[in-house]
Amino acid sequence: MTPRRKALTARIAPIAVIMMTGLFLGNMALMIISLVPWFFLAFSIAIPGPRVSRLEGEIKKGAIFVGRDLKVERETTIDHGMGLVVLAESISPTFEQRDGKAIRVLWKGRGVLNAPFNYTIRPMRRGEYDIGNVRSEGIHFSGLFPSDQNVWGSKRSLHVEQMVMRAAEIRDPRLESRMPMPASVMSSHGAQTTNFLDIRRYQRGDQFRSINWKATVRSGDVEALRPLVNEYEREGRRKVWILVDDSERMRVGSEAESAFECALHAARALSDFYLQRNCLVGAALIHQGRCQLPEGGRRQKVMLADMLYRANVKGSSGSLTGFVHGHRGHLRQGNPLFIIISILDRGSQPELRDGLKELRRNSGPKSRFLLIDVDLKNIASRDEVESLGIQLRGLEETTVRGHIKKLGVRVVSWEPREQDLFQVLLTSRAVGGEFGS
Amino acid sequence: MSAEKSSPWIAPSVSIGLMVGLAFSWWTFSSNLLFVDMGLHDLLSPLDPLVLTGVGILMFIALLFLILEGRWSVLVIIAGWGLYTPSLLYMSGIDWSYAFGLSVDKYAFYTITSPFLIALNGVVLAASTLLWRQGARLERTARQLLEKGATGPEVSTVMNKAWVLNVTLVLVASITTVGVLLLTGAWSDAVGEILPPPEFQGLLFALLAAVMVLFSLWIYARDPEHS
Repeated sequence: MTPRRKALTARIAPIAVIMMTGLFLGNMALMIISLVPWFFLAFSIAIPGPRVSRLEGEIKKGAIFVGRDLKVERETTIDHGMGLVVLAESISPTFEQRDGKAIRVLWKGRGVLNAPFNYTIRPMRRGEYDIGNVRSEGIHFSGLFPSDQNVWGSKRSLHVEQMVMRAAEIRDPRLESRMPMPASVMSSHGAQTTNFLDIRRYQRGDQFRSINWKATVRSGDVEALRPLVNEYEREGRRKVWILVDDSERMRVGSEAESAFECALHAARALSDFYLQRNCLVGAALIHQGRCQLPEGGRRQKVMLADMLYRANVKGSSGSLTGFVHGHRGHLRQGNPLFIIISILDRGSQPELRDGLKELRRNSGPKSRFLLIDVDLKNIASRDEVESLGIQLRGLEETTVRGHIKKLGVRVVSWEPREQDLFQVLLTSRAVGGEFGS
Repeated sequence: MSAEKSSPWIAPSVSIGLMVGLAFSWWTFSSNLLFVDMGLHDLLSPLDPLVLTGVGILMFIALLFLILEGRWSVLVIIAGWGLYTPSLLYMSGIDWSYAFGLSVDKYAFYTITSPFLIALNGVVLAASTLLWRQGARLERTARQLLEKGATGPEVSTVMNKAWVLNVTLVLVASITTVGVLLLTGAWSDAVGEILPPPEFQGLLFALLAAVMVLFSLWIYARDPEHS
């Protein structure tokens, strides 16, 4: 038996029972009473439920940046029946719906109904999302029949990527110099610096301009045709490690705008910035122990972007200390700039302090440490009262910051909603925060 | 009925329908012998009619507001049908108390109300119950739509239109039923004439039953096997 017939039987059966009882008792009044639902049923059946006959319009884009609007325009035609029509597209809760909603309720009266189904969505979180399927539901006005359901359009994947904060807009070289950079690294290869190192005998391949003629004459070895050349220090490529805290505490905030999402956003921006400046950049998710070893170039940019795109909060296992122990061989090389992105509060302070101590022990003597504290004030608070509460709690955290700073770590507090990360880094440096060494 | 209002018209119209049904049933019950046997007649008759009317109006308004708030609607329906049942049972052509060997005497439900009015009371109760059920269904649908994220004004507009159509069909069904009631002829007779003449009774019942059976078959026949 089809659902429609089942529904009909469910309606007819009780009416028939009343009628039969009336017939059995010879009770005309009871039979007359049963006529009311009977006639209602008859008139309802005469009016069929609505059915969507056309729904056109596709989402053509396959990829979009977080925070960018995507306009969806569709048109529907309903030319059959009377009743309620519901058009709904399943949109992830991490998408903000603007200028309309992804659900529309229409009334199909007499005549053909043509209606638009337009709305704008704004993704708030990176990821792969299924879109494109619109479900239509025609509901009979009396609820007599099961709703007529259909699926329109083709399901497709929408790739949502975090828009990278661009530091390229820092045109002023004075400002540029304020960005935290890793300490210089000397190397036997690499580009020559202007720092004089030594004078040595000419070797095949030395540049003609590097010959120190005065020193050669003074040495009295001119006749032997062995000139002396100036040796300058050679610069190695500087190294940056970006360590992202992926513990449970980073879930704070909404799913779309959590501290973790902000941390990833910052990590992506910083990795691009340092790669552009010819540094070797590596990144790691501390608690998962996943890392991308420092490398340079375009390929590394893609690898880092991919790693950060797929990153998720891990849970409570793992720690910064554990990560350092597991990767000490890589961390020891050179004098990298370590950028740790986390939340600094009473809860995280012991773990961070121990981890930073361990990191200091297992890295080069000129390594630099920068801790970006993702400020919760605007992420976690839903209203002004909560914001004030978090602000008051922030006052207590001043001592916590002090403990970390004592380890020679520069701490920068960043409010993702209100502040541009690069401006914060530039400004905090200008105020006088200095790297420990 | 839910306290959350999807349409401004559903709750008031259902409330009024239910209260009219209850008031009608109370009136029918007051003409029943059971009313006297239960001592209600002796209890209420000494009271000043003005006081009785005032209390009645106050109770009516209070119940109306309770139903509007989404409470007590089921109780009002049960009360309406409960007060109506004795008079309805008295309308039976066969003596069911004798047939089933019950200790309750059919004639304990004797009523002085005209059969036409008793049948009309039943029609009003059936219509109000139908309205209540349709209203509750629409409220439930509206709530589900709002939970899914549909906008309030959009849902309200659609529910209003659906409600108007439902009310219209319930009214048309009720009026048609009253038309059938009038067509039977005997029902318009004076007080005390409970059933049509015996030669018509069997024919009338058989005709009604046949119409219903044919109608059911027609419904099934015209409905294609849509899944």
